[in-house]
Amino acid sequence: MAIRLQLFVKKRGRRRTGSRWFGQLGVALVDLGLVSIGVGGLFWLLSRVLLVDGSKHGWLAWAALVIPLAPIVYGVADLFVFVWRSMASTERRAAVVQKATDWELTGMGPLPNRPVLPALPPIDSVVDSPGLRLAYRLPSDAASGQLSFALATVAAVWNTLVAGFVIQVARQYLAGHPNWLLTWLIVPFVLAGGWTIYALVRQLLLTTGTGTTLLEIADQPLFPGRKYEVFLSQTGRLPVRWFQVQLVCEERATYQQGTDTRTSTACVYRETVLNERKFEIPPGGAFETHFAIHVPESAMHSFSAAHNAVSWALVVRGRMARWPEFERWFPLCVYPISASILSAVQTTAIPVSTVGSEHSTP
Amino acid sequence: MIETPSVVLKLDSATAQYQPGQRLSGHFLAEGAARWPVRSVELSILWYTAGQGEEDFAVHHFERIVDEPSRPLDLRLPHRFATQLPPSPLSYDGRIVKVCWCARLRIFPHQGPEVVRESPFRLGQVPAAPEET
Repeated sequence: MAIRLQLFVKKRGRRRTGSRWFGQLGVALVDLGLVSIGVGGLFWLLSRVLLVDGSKHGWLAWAALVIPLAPIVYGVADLFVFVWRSMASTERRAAVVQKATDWELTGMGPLPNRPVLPALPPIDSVVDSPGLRLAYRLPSDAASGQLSFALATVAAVWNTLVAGFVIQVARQYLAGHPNWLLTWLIVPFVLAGGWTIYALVRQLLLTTGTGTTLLEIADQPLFPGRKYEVFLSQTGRLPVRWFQVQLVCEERATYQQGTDTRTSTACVYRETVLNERKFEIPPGGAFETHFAIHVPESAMHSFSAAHNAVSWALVVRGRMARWPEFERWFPLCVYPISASILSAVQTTAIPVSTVGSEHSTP
Repeated sequence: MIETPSVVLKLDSATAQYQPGQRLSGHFLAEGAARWPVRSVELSILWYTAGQGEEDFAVHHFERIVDEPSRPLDLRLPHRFATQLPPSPLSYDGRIVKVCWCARLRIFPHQGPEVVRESPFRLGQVPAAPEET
């Protein structure tokens, strides 16, 4: 089959329909072009403007050197990465990176958030808060707070912009020269602004109105096949229609689709560990209970990588009277059972031959 | 032109099933009567992810053997390797996330494209995720 030179090809996920070699050549040429443009610009700026005899310039003119220097730095750095990628295999590069991340700078000490085991989420974030009834208080997933913050930002920015147009329209009315086209055009934008405020208020009420959930656990990290005591406290001053706590394991995969970054999730384990219906939380009090969770013996441990993860969590779900359903996630760390046997997990490789070769074992 | 010989990458365990902390060992060689001129050979013990997400991977053990005048690299002789396996991540066959372990051999011949051989193995005994919860 004859090879056709395709100028415009569709990108299909990670598969390429074009030539890899041409792609690399293109990247190198772009980098060389950037460096050339930068060097040319730098030469012109120095010889024709800044270093011309008798000319005096302030710091602002010298700061303009950033403009030609930026493409030079970017081009040289990208060329270096390009050459390194061409010279070294994926595994060799990964081994070098692994070695570099293992370095401990003098006086810096070990990193506080560093995972003890490879590819496991750091445990520091879930054990830094001691509980009142049990050993550890579980931190809540920050998704709800982040959503409130994002909604507040969108509402503030959007409504500020819309307010400018509304003021302009109002002035034209008051001056006796109404602009009907602008008036009608602005209506959907005002409605959208109103919706952002409604969504923000609803989210804030949902966060604060259903009361606070507090979870404490007897031990961390968790190991497959073991049982753990959990303490729950829920405030709210509301009649509760139903209330559940579930032990959940979820897989999460992030991937590129065209120019979008998408995340898929799949729940691979869900067990209801507490189920209560129709009860009331007294004013000034809280619904408090103890229960046990059992991590299945066949459970996969928590796993955390750049694009893939396996996460365990306790999910508190419920519905209060006159409120929509709520759901709060409390991440857990499940370690492989071997981690409890292998102390400290500082494994060292046993290189077989060391002459004329380089070895690396993180 | 020298024909690419058959490359053997073999783990010592017949079951290819290992436990965390266990020692993994094996050997690699190129079968053939004539010496195959190669620039270097890289042997890695690594894990990588498969499934729906972008691939993540990390190298646990890496060794590179270079052909030197003082020490010519003859792949007809078996080259042994060994390492102590880490406690994590364990092999996992999930619904959209899979964690796979393998020994990977990459040979860079003086002529022709690089040759890659893999020998997969399992670390730990985590069963596959159920189809539906």
